[in-house]
Amino acid sequence: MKARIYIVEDHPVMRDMVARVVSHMPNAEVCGTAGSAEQALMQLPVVSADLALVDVSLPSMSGIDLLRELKQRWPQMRCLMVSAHHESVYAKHALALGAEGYVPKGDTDRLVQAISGALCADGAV
Amino acid sequence: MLSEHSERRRLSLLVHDDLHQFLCSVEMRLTLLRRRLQDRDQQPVDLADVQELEASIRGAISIARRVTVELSPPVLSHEGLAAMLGWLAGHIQETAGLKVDLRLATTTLALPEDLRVMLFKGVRELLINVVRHAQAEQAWVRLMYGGDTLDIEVGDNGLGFGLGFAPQTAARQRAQTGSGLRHLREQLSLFDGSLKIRPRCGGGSLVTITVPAIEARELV
Repeated sequence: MKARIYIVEDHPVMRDMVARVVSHMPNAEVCGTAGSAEQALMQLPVVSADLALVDVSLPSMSGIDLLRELKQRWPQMRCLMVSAHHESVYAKHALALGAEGYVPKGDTDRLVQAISGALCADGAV
Repeated sequence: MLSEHSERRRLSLLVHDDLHQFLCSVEMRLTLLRRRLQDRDQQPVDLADVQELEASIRGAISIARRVTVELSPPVLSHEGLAAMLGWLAGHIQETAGLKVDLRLATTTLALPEDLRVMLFKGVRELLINVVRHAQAEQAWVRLMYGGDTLDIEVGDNGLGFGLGFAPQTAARQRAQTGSGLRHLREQLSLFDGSLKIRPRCGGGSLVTITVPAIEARELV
């Protein structure tokens, strides 16, 4: 059974590419996408996601705020942060809030590794 | 001019939101192609893949061109305020999809360059606020010359300041918008100008920039 991945990314081109990367993974599939944190909070309760890929920079509510909200509402939900910001301050903040990892945008190999790692961490895959 | 910090932040967002995202997606597309070339079990790379990549690169070039224009609009160097606002309205409509109507006074004014550039950047800041926060279908810019004052009104039919968002988000939006308006107000004060913000009857907001006409020499 494939792991279900939910993608939160406001940039449509990037959202499409991340979805493509996930769809090329043999053990994962995309169960939904959102262009904003607000949309994700509405959809996530009904899509049964195993892992959320969350862009740090989102319009309105930020990815970090979304991570905090997700971990409060569903502490067992795994979240992997994806960002064009390479500053360690963002990564430290995300990890402190319980994110399973922090991946720079554009690096497909690291994204695939991080998804696999986050899913394997507690035997999800 | 608006504060250097505010301007740098705006340009940084432009590069991050557009160019960087696009280039990252091109890199990811290339990695997927490399994996398909390395792995004989995967679908072979074909002409459509190359065409898709070409389209991506064309998109990145187009965005780089746009960032260059945003960094230094060519219209700033040799046009009058009316022409600059005309260019800005077209640019906002083209890049952000917001329809901007221009209602310009018939009188032609020659403004000092520093005032002209400051007014252009102020109107741009106000329109960017409309695009980012107002969820408006339409905006307009009115340039009015009243003899003693030059007034520029920027209006929209959107939500108004901070409405329509969750409380936490609304507070952050107000803080960001407020910071830009504060800088604009500071810059206007250097020209004895002022900024008036009020809700628009029927929804949206109206922001009016006023500068003394003494700064302008009437040509016609």
